[in-house]
Formats: sequence, structure tokens, C-alpha cells
Amino acid sequence: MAEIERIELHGVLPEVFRGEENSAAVRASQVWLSDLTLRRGTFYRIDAASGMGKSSLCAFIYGLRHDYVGTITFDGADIARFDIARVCDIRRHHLAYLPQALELFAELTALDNVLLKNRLTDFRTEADIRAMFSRLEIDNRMDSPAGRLSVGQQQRVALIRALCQPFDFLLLDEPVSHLDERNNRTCAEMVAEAARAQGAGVIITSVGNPLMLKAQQITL
Amino acid sequence: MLRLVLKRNISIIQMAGYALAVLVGLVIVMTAVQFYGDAGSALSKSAAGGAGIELTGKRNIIISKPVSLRNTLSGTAPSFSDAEIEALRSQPWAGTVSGFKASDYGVWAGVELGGRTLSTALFFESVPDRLLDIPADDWSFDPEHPSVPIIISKDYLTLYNFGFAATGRMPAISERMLSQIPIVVTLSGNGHTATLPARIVGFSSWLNTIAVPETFMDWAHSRFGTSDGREQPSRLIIETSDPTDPAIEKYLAAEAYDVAGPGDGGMGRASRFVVILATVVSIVGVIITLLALGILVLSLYLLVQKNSRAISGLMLLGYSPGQITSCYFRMVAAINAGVTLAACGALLLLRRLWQEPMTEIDMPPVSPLAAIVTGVTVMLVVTAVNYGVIRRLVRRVWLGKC
Repeated sequence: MAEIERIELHGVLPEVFRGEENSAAVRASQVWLSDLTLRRGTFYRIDAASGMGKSSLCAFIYGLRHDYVGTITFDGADIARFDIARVCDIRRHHLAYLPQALELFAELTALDNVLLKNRLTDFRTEADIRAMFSRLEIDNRMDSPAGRLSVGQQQRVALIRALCQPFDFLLLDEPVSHLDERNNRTCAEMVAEAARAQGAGVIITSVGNPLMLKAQQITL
Repeated sequence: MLRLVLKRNISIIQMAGYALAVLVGLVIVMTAVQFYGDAGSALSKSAAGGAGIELTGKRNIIISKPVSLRNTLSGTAPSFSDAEIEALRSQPWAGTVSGFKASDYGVWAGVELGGRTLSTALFFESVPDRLLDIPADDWSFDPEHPSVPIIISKDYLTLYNFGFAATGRMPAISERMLSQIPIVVTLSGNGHTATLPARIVGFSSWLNTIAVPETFMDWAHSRFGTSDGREQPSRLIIETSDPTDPAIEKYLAAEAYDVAGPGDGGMGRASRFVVILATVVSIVGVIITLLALGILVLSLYLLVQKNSRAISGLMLLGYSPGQITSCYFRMVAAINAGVTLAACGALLLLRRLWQEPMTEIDMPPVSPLAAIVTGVTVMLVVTAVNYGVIRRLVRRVWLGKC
């Protein structure tokens, strides 16, 4: 499959918001019930109050959930019509995702969690991965079960895992909510480097502690 | 690593329970099939002396009508009318119905023994060649180089050896010896006479006649025959795929037909009993196997449900439902392969229970191949069902329904 150049949302609204189409929050949103185009190579930051559907938006774009009205397209193709093989290909080669819930396997070590992804994509060398752990100052936790790490450490492991694949867009759902400023900055640098190296777009959601990355702001 | 994630929550007890239950079911099915084959082989051997009947194959039934006083007075053999033959053909158990062709010319046969020629009046009959299990080279007739192959009833030799020879101080003759004695047959009729060499090529325990090839019978009839060849047959051979069918016995008794040759009703009933017994035991085995399959399906439901979060997590990373299905399937397939091997081993051990006593009474058991093929086939079906269930469950997780 060719690279994804643009992600478009046309009149998208989570089904849970049905009946609230005329509410002030929905009407003020630049995403819900709007036409929105996200382009490859551009960084976006979606700011919103809690409960406005940031994680839902990420899950819709990533193809995890389909409980919305409207259409989401990748270069004009409706993602609701994609078959399993295409969705899997997108998840391996075109769209990287760091979910808010992180979804690490608690019984695997931090390193194994990352390798589990990397073995699927074969995108990074183990040395690269170890270097990323060092850069985020969690190299001393590589062999610890992920379930025993703090949330902040788990966020950094999940970020490394998200960077272990080629992508046209990187979806980061509140990636640094539990990180201090120094780690936030390091994460931002790593995201920017990886995205620029691939000419990819980045979509970051945030409720208050945004990734310190210069990005086009969108209000949800 | 993938396996580590997916095999979390697997209950060893559940898997062991499944393996044991499938093993028991499979061993029962395979043992029943083996017993069916061994017993069938033994019954066919005892019923027909190795010819004419097979428990599961075709069997030829030879029938005739009882001789009445009217036949005695008129000097004719009771024969079957076209309507009677047609009625037989219409029976669901009846395959091809063929008549014996009898010689309608004079036949004399002579042998030279110690410088003396012994000769006797004889008769020939023929039956369709395909009913005789004899190589075509031995069972042919060429008018250019005439030599008549003959099959005689084993009973005739027995009658001579243990009746006539024993009491008349004559030498007993083996089958092999008799086959090597040169015979000369003289055919006469229709104003012609011819003398031809002949040889005995076989002995039949189910064909109670002196049989010659159809080609010879037609050739001899055209030269020496004294009738128009349209006589109604007095004996019929019925081919049937299931000789144990009780309907056969019932019909033949109702029509008052005599059954000649092997396969009396008692043996038919014994064969039928073995079939019923083996079928019932097989059904029990299949039921146990199905119950075991049920255990596994429930275990898989439970496993996938418990692991649904891990499976979702893997799919989030880009692992396809196919990859996850394969991982679980490999595990189940390995169990099934182990169970199949264990069942084959158990079968080979179990069949010893009856193998030795059977061999002692000259009833060699058949090869276990059929039972093993059955077992492997059952397990292939079970494994295919396992695959379908796993695939369906994993797809349910993909669709967020699990």
C-alpha cells in the first residue's frame, strides 16, 4: 500500500454524542461534525477538555472502533471499508499509535514489549532500541516486567514501541501526561526526529500537559 | 514472545482432560474398526473357505429351485422364468443377476492312468468370467489352439478323497496333482465330434459345478449345440454388495428358492451381528470424541475470553487475527498429533487381545491400516473443527465482540 498523504474527517461524531449536535461544545469543535484534513508532514496538537472524545478520535482513526457517524478517509478511501489485511498493513507500516491506556503486556519486560512490535516490523536494530531506552533514562528498567514500572516509565516504553515501525502518521494519545518537563522534551525531540526522518505527520492529543513540540493546534 | 503472551491463562488440566477424552474416544473408534475388519476377515474365511464371500465386499449368491416330482417325470430341471429373473433384479439388494449356461452337447472326459484310459460322461457349465478370481491368461479359450481350462468344485475332490478313495482303496489325489493330469475331452453333437486337450486350472469352494470359460461354451454351442440356446437357466448367480442383508434371506425363503454354495443364513446373521456390534461401539467412540471436542471448544472459549485483552493488545500492534489463530492452532494441533500417535499405539496393544487366539485357529487378523486411517481421518476432522472454532473466536476479538 502507498503512503498515506492525508487523513480526512467528514462530519464525524461519536455515536455517544448523538443528540448533542447543537451543544456549544460540539459546535465549537474543529473536529466533530466538521470537515478536517490532516496532512502528512504536519504536526497537529488536538487540545480538549476531558470527556470530549480525544481517545475516541484516535481509536476511530486507528480503526479500533467504528461507533461514529460520518466518514474518515485515508487519501479518499473510507477506512470503514478496509479489510483485515489492509488494517494490519496500515498498523505495521503507515500508522503508529501510542494509546492513552498504553496497552503494555505487564508480564513481559520493558524491552520485550518493544521487541514484540519490532519483530513484526523489523524497523529498528536492538542497539537502536537500547539507545532509545538510554536516551529516555529507563535503560536500567529494560529487563523489569512492564507491570512493575511507574506510569511515567511505562509511557516512555510505549513511546519507544510506537517508534519501532515506519509510519506516515504518528498518533499520540496524551503521551506525556505523567512525565516531567525534561523527559517531555526528550520525548518531543525523539518524536520530531522520527517523524521528520520519514516525512510523517504527528497527531497529539492533550488535556493539559502537552508534548513540547511545535504543532498546529486544533480544538476538539 | 508471542506464544508467551497468548498462552497465559491456558489451563493445563483442561487441555489434559481434552487430550484424555479424545484419546479414549479415538481408541474406541479405532478398536471397533479393527475388530470389524478382523472379525469380518475371519467370518468370510470360515464362511467361504477364502472365496466367494467377503464381509464388506461383493458376494455371489447361487440359487436354484427345488426339484419337484413333475421335473422328475418330465426329465427337465426346474428353471427360472423371465418374470422371476426380472423380479429378482428389481430387489434393492440385488446387483447383477446372471444365469448358468449348461452344455447342450455330449461331453466325455478321459485321463490316462498307468496305461489305462479312464473316461466318463461329463457336463460343462459356464458363468460370467468376471465372477471368477482367476488370471485371464489361464481362463481363455482359443479355437485355433484349443485347450479347455476347467474349474471344478472343491467338493468333488473332497468327495473322492475322503469318500471314494478311502473306501475303495484308491490313491488320494491332491489339488496340485490333479491339475497336472492331462485330460482329453470329446465333444459331440449336431453331427460333429471333436477331441480337445483340457486341464484343471482351479478349484472353487463356492461354485458347485464343472466350469469352463464363456468363450469356450459359446464356441462349443455353435458347433455341437443341439438346442437354440434359449433355454431358461436353472441356476442363477446374484451379485450383492451386502450379503448380510436380512431382506435377502427373507425374499429367498418366501420364493422357496434353494441357496447353494457358501454363506448359509447363520453365517450371514453372524456377519450382521459383527457389523451391528462394531457400528454401536464406533458410535460410542464417536460420541466420546464429540464430547471431548465440546470440552475443548468450551476451554477455547474460556481461554480466548480470558486472553481477549492480550489478543486485542497484539492486534493493536499490527498482529493479524491469522497470526494469533496460528499460534493457538499449533498448540491444539500438537495435542491432536500426540493423541493420534498414542491412540495408534494403544490400538496395536489392544488388538493383541484377540490377535493371538485368532491366529491360533488359523484366522489371521487383517492389517491395522484401515483402523489407523480411520483414526487419522477422525483427528483431521477434529483438528479442522478446532481450527474453525479458534479462527471464529479470534475474529470475534477483532470485531470487539469478545
